[in-house]
Amino acid sequence: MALLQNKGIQNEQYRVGKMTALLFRIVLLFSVSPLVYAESPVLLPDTLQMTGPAIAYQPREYVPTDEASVLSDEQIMADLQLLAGVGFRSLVTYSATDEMAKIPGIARKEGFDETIIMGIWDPFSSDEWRNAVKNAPFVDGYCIGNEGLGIRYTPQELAVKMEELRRLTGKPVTTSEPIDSYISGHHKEWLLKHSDWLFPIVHPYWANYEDPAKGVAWVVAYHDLLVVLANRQVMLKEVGHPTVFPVEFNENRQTEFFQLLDSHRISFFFFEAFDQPWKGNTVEERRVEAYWGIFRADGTPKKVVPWITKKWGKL
Amino acid sequence: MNSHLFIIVFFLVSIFSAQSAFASGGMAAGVGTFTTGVSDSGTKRYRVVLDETGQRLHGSVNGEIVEWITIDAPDTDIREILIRESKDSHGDVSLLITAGDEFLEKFNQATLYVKPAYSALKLVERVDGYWEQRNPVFIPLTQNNPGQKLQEHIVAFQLTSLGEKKLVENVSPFIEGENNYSGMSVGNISDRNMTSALWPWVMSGVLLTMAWFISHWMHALGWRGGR
Repeated sequence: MALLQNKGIQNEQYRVGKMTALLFRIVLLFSVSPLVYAESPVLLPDTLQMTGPAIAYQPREYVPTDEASVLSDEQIMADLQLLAGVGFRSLVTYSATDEMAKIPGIARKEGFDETIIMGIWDPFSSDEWRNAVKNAPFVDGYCIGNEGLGIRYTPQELAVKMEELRRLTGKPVTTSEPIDSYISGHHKEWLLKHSDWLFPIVHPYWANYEDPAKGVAWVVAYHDLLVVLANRQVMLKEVGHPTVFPVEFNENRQTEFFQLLDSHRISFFFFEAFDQPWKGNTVEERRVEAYWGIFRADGTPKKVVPWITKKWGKL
Repeated sequence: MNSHLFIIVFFLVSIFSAQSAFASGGMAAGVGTFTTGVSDSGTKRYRVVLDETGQRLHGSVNGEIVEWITIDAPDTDIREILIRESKDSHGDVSLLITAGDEFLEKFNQATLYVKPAYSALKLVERVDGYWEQRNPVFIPLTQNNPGQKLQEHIVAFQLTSLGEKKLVENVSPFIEGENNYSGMSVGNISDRNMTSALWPWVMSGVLLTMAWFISHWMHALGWRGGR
């Protein structure tokens, strides 16, 4: 009897020992091999993969801050025909107010067959909200807010809105902030957690880079660092190079900037379609905001356009 | 123990323990072909495993000088490179980045992220026989709070090639006095690929053959492994 009891104890000890050894091996495996628990990289949603060029689009001759300014379907159509002819197949908008909300639908008819991101400027606007949901069939993803986190809306408020729009449309939803916010900003953890894809704004001009090569190096350095730190594919919502003002910035340099940037295989939206004179009517330091277009305000092309057309154009 | 087996096993162990990381410029002690962070004569070598995220390959070096590297090399299956870091007595730094031939063919550009301690230095790389300076991009990694003198940051340099790079205090001798440096070990073509990696294996084959002959010779003498 005692012998049997001893044998039982020995078996128990053997089982415990075996389990301990197994646990030890598992712990050892995970501690010595970071690859075992390294998370897989997060890629862009399938619907947001782009092969052709993409443009940040705000209609010309339309002033959102002026209530008397009217935007017609014909005007949007004319703009988009111009852009599609150059070769653009994807676009991002900035607002879903009544006329702006028509852009995705018109863009589909005009040949924009890749990624269309609809912007919602004011997350609390019931008009924009309703229009955004209504136009979901034409849209691949939504960007709620633009450079307003912690200013125009709180992270908590925006998170609720983003989740609600995901639920209603089944589309990926994100927001946009300057790229340094994703690397060193107060809300970086929040941005990485709540964005279905990373959609930062990157302008070397505001980092005091005049030279196109240095500016592109700056863009690539930030882009690649964000890829490393977040282990996620990144799509840049705005990358641009102003012309005309100040004097160091001109159309030749804008062309050189985009040519260099294009050689780096970064997913980005050209900023922006047309010069926007109304944006320059503020303080002196912000006058430059009026001259980021690849087309002038009257619709005539700047020097970068022939290069884009040659590479991707349909005309 | 069979004397043939004993001697061959002995030589195999010796050979494998003498293998070095295959960056050129000297052997590193240690076990295994790819030895990480091993130092001899102030030189450190790192085998960097690359992950792929979208259009970028990226690896954490976590070296004394280099923190990360990102690479644009489309359509390559190679997922590792080697980085050798070495410092001279003046504080100038030499970096050698090597990869397989197939990788070099696909290579488009890279970005090197260097630790802040080296942010005062300038990077020069040799391209088509000429030294070219790369401008640093300073990237803060923490919020710059008012009153905070130093913020944690990292310094990025864009590279247009692999091979040898230098982080130096004074760039002008490289840019203006090109000929003065042509005799130095800079950007040698053989340093840019893994040809030198074959040497340890060639030597391994030679040693194995020697082991086989010694084994036969001892057998002929009637030696029986000490018995």
